[in-house]
Amino acid sequence: MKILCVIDDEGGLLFNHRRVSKDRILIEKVLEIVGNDKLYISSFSTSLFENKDHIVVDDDYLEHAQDHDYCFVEDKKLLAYKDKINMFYLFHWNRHYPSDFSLDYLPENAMQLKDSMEFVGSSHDDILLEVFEK
Amino acid sequence: MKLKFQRFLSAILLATLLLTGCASETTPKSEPKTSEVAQDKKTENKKQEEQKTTQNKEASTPVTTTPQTNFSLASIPAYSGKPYVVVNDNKPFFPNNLNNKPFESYSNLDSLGRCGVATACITKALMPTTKRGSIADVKPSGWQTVRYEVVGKGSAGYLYNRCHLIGYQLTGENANVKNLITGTRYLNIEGMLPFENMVTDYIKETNQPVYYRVTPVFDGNNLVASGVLMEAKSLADNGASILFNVFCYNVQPGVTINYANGTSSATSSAQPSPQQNTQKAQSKPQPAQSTPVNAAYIGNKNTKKFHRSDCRMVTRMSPANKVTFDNRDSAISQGYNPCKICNP
Repeated sequence: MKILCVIDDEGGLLFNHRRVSKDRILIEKVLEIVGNDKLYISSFSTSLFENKDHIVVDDDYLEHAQDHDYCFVEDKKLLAYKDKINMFYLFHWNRHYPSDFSLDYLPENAMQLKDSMEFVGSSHDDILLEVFEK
Repeated sequence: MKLKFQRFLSAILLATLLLTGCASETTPKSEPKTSEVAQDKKTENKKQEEQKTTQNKEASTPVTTTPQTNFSLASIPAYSGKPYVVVNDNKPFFPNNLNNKPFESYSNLDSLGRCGVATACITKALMPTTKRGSIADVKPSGWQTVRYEVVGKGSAGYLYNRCHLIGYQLTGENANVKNLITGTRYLNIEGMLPFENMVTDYIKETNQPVYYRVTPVFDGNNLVASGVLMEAKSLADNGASILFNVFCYNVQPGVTINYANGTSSATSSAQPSPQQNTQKAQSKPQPAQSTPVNAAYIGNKNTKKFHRSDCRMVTRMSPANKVTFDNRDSAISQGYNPCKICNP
């Protein structure tokens, strides 16, 4: 499965059960990457995406996702599923936010960095995207 | 004669009373008349109602007094390594009817020259459009100028920052003595800044208001705050996006602070740095200067990226992947590319 995830400087994802930040252009990038392939999201993430046929809301997506499927991760731990991950699109806010839920699987320690690019978000000056592959 | 005069006076008195009673009657015909005493009570009740309404309106307008009735410094656990602690399960101590129109309010300094609570309903309209200017002329209560190597190198080593209660990026309030306290670099950068960032970016993204309050908490007559209570709530979605209530510690690891007057001393390993230049501490960190020639670089064997030694990517790097370089050329010649986060 292919993971898409966005973290702050400390790897943070959530604070007080709320996402640390959001950005409309980042979501557009996510959809651009996914194309028409299946994108799994949890019920927590539904407010970020419009209703589309290829977007599947499934709180157990880490169990169900197949090799070619994409998963947008905000509120899940990944370490137990690391062997299923074949690509990792890691976005960086380049900001420091408070967090009490963080990414537990760091692709830079186990996967090959294939590409990186920066772009300006709708409310973030400089978002970095790193693409890792196994 | 006398009796006739008395009767005449009584008649006049009675007539006067009757006329007064008619004039004060305001109740509709269908309702029983109220006595003057009852009328006074009704008027008094109406005044109390009006006062209550006014108070409710004032509750939603700038709060200038310490509003928390359930919070006390005694309830805060001792600092144990995390820059903040959650208070009241992250629920702010806000009143019910919050003003969602943009405003900002700063308490007057108290008799010891200390700041009080600062409150704002932050919208894009309040956010600054220009770069921050100097605040070096402001000396908040307990201010001292002292550096420690354990705090940082050069100008990043000053123990204290002039610390905005409501961050400049939120309301553009800069050299306002009512908005600046003597805060440690740790409080400023590790404690408060992440929360300010979260609120700022939410407002920039959604253009929706956030009710925001910061209260410096002083122990007794101390001139330096023990910490600040930060509370915030996004109003458009009743806190679904932004909701927090945290106490940020005004501490600096490696330094012991005398909160009575701001003096300090190093712990066994942290010695004060000599004052080598006249640079003043800024409220927020300045962008990194160009890298000295002999700085070490750290490479990641897996990603083939190299980083400055203080890059946050280095702290997350697996030790097995680390490789060091004395200079940029050495890293590049071995096929490593510069990190886009720390730009070595």
